[in-house]
Amino acid sequence: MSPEYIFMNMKFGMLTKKQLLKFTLIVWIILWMFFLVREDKDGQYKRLAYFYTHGYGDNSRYIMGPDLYDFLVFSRRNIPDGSTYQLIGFERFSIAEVRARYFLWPLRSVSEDAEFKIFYGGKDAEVPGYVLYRDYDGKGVILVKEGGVR
Amino acid sequence: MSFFFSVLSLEVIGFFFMLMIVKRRRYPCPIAELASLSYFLGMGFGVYFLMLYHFAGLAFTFAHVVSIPVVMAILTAAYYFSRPERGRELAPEARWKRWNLAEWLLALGVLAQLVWIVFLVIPVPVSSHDAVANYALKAKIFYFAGGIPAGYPAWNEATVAHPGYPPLLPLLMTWVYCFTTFDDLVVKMLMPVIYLAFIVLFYSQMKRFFTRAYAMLAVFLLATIPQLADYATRMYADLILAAFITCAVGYFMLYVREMKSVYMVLAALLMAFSLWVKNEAIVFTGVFAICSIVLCKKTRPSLKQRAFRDTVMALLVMAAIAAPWFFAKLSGGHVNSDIDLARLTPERLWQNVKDIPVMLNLFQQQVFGPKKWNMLWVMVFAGLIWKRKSLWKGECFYLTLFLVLSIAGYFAGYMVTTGENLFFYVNTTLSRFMLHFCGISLFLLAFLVYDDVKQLPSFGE
Repeated sequence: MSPEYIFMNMKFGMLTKKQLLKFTLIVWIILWMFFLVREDKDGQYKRLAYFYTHGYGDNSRYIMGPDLYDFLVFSRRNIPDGSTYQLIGFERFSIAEVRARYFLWPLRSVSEDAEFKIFYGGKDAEVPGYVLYRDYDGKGVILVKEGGVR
Repeated sequence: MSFFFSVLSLEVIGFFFMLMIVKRRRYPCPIAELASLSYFLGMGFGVYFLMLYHFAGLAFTFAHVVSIPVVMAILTAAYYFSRPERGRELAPEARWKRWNLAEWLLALGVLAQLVWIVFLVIPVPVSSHDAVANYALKAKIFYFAGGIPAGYPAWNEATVAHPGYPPLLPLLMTWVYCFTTFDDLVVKMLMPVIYLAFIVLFYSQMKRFFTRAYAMLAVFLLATIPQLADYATRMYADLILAAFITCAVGYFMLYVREMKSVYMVLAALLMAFSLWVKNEAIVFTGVFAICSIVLCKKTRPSLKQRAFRDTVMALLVMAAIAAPWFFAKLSGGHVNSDIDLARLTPERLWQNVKDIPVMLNLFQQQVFGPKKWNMLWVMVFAGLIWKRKSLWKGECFYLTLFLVLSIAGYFAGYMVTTGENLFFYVNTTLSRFMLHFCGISLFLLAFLVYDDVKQLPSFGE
């Protein structure tokens, strides 16, 4: 018996090295394929089907939710480029707030002394020093600094 | 098509560096390695040039951006056309050995994974939290402002998250936008391209150490790690950092084996560019410097002088590459909100130490949970236990040292966090941080079990 033969058939517990490698690879491949095709999140394939059959705007609307997306489009259309704003009605650093800031650029979010206050979901928003600028069907309002852009 | 040209422009920059500065005669690597390495270097240098543009007050416009690769392409073409015999350097290797069945199957597996990633990426705009907050918003700002706006470093978190964060990914996206105009759908294709370049370069490095089939096996394992593939579908910097670090370590290991200066330069370049990707790279570059110094001490007396010279050169290369970013960062006066040593009190440190069991619990969930890692960490830990006597011997010594010191660095980082509690940080970052280590761990595992696996017919010589 050659040393190679002895080495190849060396027992590793119950398995030879060859069997161990085969076993490991088979388990790896099974797990890989399972996690590859399994839905990562519920509705992943439904979402993908939607994304593949719709355009960029619709897909963004789907991701953000129609209410938020429509309100942001409204805000974007009504506030002059380069203006500063404060978002109200969002949890700080939440995904919705982060997406809103991203969507609204080149409007610039600031922490104080904003030219506009964007209230998402607020109807009767009142802030001293600001007056109503635009109302979006009761789903949100934009206030403007008194004496600011009209 | 414009996206293709943006990727091509980065390739051209990398090719220029490899063909005109490193030169083929010094490093005649296979074309696949040349292309993938060039892409990484192109990304690094492309972003580096954008930062120099920022310092020089030049706008990030298509004309300015495209002028760099165009000049480089002209110089490279002139070099090769002026003496046509130089063109032979670029010819692919003549010998092509047929692949065996195992190699075909593994390659098909990698290809299937890549296709799946592209399928998931194509229709979805940038939307996940950090991708938007940390990278996409910055890229949008840079693109629409035609550069990094004045006063940007002083902007607060209400405007942009972490303005002092390393800028490689946002600047890379800006680079693409200069070609495509603003399009956050197509820009996501950068990630599958980076994933592809990573696995090709990893394969090329593995092939220099091991048999082709064994290298293919290692690449298959790397490419099909669910977490790695998942991060190739998101606009996060963690995959990019993992790629830079893993490939830098690969070149460092080649240097350990062959002591060719070019390997050390390539390792230093990739390490240095990783500093532009994520702050965590500081740990890896520090450990890289330590490993290089240890190599100088441990190497044969006849090679000591060369090792010392190459180490000094690597440190200089890293300093030169990192300098613009650190200059911008320090002049911006950024404060890290998560680790602020000025705010670290003994009470906070003790609280973090008391929370170590929480960290270990989350860690074991990662190790044994197959959803993100398949069996990677089980295999790695089994390999470490099985081959524990080989860990500190030969080439494995440097990989083990690198891993141990890097993990110690990350652990120390967790211990000195000062923002939220430790559970918050570990819970939100551990799986990403483990991604930074998976390539190097696989490298070590490959070294440890090679002698056993190569005895098998499909993976032997």
